[in-house]
Amino acid sequence: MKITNNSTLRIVGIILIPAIWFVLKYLFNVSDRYLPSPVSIIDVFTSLEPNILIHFIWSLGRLIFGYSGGVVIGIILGLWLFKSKNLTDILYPTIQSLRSVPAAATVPFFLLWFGFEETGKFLLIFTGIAFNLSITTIEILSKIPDKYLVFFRSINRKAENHLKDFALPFVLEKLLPTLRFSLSTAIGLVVVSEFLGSQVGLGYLIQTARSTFSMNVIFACMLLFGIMNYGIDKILVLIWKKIIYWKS
Amino acid sequence: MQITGLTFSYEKFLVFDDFNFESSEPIIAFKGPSGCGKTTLLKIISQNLTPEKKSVVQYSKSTYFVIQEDSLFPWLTGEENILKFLDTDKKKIQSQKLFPFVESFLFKKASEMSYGQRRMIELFRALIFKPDLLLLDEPFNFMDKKSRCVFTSEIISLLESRTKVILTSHYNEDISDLKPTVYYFNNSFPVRELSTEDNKL
Repeated sequence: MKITNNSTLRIVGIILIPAIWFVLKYLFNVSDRYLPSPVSIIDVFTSLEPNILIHFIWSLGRLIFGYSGGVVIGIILGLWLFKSKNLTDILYPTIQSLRSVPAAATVPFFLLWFGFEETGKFLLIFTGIAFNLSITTIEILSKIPDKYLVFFRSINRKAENHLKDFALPFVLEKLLPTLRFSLSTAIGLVVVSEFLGSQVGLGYLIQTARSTFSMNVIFACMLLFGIMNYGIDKILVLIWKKIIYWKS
Repeated sequence: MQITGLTFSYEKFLVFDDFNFESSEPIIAFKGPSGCGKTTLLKIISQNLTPEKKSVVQYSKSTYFVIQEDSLFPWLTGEENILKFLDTDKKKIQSQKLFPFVESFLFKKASEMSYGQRRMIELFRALIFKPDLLLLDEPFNFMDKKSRCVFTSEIISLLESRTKVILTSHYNEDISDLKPTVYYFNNSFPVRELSTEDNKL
């Protein structure tokens, strides 16, 4: 499917959802219980104490630290396993199994081990991202193109012995789609960690708003998560373009 | 170069069946239509493909294979593509006869070079390596006539140091100066032997 850059259609797309929202709310009179008014959502940004943006910054901070840490360690772990076949044979089944465990299901472990401390939240996000990325790194390196394998055979060397000059840039070139997908996963983990073990953050706000039926607060938090995801995704793509400069 | 009873197939497609080949010429060219098995044979000789057990292939101690596709790492400069992987140093690179010819683009990132420049760096790298057996698959793709002449004379110099060369090319004018002994693939499978017209170009 070709993605075009038709500005008019994009503007229509951006306006469409709010327009439907207005119609449902004001023409069909949908109850606040199911659909808050746009005005009540805007109110949330001025009425909450502490301000919703404080919660936003806490969630954003957790996301950036947990996600960055998970990405870096995930890639390093993948490269390390690529270098050592024996280590891969030993650890691969364990990592594959851990990757399959829904990160949300591990929240009780982190709560019991770390309580409400930030360490637990960071580790939850970190482990949810790192194992996935290490497996992806190994998968990418299992499909080295023939042309490079022929070269390494010609010089009687192994690709595994050239992590900095070959394996790392080769992986970085192909990792962006997984990174973008993992970003959404990381945001989900931020929410889950804040649901159960936090006194501040958008996830915590959603949890308390649920118990007071404050749909406008929930909507405002979801809107901010959407902006967070979109913004960080755009920054990620920009940063990645610089890192893999040779692709441009 | 001696090959006896070579049998090789891609999954169920039999490419070589009891294939025999022998030649003591210093430079050999394989010619034939596209898809006839030339590159497959070079990959077998360079041990990038493994034939069936009964095959006997005389492998060289060091074989360097320059394939058709560009295999420079695009994130490195031409010089880094050589220095970081070969047992050599800047001095040896600069003392190579062809250094003045490639100097103007050797320090560029491979991603910034033209196809012809990348091809030249690949050949330059192979010449620095000085293997016992040099395999060249369509070596002069994207190269202009002057560049082809320059690299041809350097390959001929390499023969003087007992390096053997096997190459493939669709174009006689590309390789005529090398004066290889030519062996022909026909377009039928499985391949059992190559025809020769003792045809030095």
